[in-house]
Amino acid sequence: MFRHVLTAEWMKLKNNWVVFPVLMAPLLILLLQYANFRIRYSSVVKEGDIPWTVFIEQHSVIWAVLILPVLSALLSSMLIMTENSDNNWKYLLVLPIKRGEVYFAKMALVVLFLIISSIILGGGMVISSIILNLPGEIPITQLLQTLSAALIGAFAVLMIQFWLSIRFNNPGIPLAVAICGTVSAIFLLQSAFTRWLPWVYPYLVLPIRLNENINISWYMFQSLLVGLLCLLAGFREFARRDI
Amino acid sequence: MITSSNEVLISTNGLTKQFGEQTSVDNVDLQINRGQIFGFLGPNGAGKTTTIRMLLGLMKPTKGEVKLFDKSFNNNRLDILRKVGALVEAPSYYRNLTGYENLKISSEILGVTKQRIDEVLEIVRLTEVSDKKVKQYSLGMKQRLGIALALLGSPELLILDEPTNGLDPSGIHEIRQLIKRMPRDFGITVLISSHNLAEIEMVASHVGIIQSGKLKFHGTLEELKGDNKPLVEIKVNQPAKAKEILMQQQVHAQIKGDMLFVENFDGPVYSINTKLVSNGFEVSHLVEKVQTLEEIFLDLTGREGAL
Repeated sequence: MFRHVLTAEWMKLKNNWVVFPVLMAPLLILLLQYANFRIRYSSVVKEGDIPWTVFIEQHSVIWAVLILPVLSALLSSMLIMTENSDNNWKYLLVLPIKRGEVYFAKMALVVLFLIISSIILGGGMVISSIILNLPGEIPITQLLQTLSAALIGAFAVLMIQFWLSIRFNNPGIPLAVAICGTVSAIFLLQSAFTRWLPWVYPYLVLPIRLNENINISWYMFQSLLVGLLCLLAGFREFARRDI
Repeated sequence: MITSSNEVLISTNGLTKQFGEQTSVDNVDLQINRGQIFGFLGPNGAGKTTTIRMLLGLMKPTKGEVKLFDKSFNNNRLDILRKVGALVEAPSYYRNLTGYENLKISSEILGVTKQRIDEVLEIVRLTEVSDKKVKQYSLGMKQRLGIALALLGSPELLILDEPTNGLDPSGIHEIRQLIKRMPRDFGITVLISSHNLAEIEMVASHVGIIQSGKLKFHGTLEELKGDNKPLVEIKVNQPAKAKEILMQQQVHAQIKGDMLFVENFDGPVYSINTKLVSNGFEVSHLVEKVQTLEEIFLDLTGREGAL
């Protein structure tokens, strides 16, 4: 049955513009960093640095801190908005399906889109490095590790945003939370006291030199734990809610 | 004609829903049998939609229980919903998709064939506009799409919440014809809610009247009408004397202004006239008034209530 619900959810995405953020988010970072490396190469890559390591760091930091949380919020919102704004829950949930199937089908699609976005970023980085004539061999493993880590780090944020999107009819609320969370994350990263906030996890899990003193695996665990708790809480609330 | 069987499709027992302090549905006992068109009637905000949401398992009752097909929702939700088609509070559906695509999405979940999609489009006469996007649909077309979606899974029970709300007279007529066909042509039992008495009167075999969350009447349309006896209005030259004469015949009349009123009169009305005329009274006006359904409805739901 889940497969059918998933197919049905997929069919709803036609003409939904969901492809736009999925494509634009990585393209934005790629263009930004392409310009960065093209124009400021000598100041970005210092003496003794491995160019590819810097290249991955530069992409992944912005990707993890700014883009992934906002993209999670945006995609959750886009997939859920039609049900909220057009009163479609009442129609959808009198069909003979479990509420959980709807919840997880939508979530599975958001996760899928985030993975696609990450793959586009990774592929784009390889192409960008070739155009830039970046010296050295392409460190495929390091690239994959970094991008996967960012996704794991964003898990908690995604679950929170997904829950908020399904909880509130007004898509402005989850988006406002996403923006506030992301902006504050930039500052909150600095202090050890505020590192429990989910919006800083995507950065703290990155295997980069700036995080050398940080226990990356711990924050991955924390992200997965917080994410799972939010997932369960959100699902429970949704399953019992009066529609 | 509609043949109503004894099989109970919907039954509620002491169904109650409270939102904080406010009791929106108060101890409602409904029973709807197979083959009926049940008109669920009440002013706006009387608790019709809330009741329907509980009937469909969208909302949990504060108290009481709901049984559909003699099963409760707790363990049989999917089994029940498989046999039910519903239209609740006019959703807009997926506006960026065509009518056909909307049906296709539901057919994926309901596991019905493409042929069935064409059939329901035919039933609600949307075949020609099925590849137009739903956002271009008129309100009436959207309501018809809603009915098509509700019919898609070949339900045994159809629950329609205010299906004619906001439609023009021809749209209302069309939906009404459609609903009338349901038990006759497809063997579908229908629950239709409305605040419009005339509309229910034209389609329903049974009615339930709800006011401020309480069920005021539950029975057939005939029972609703049959409950009230005519009122006889008489204008006569000497009302006080006439009243006495009528009193001797065990007819209790009341004087209001220059008129005599006889409530709940059982016998033939001409007998009053004969009596009065043969006693030398001049009867200038004699009318038998039967309360219209609208008046009955207003009496039941309270005239002060918003309609």
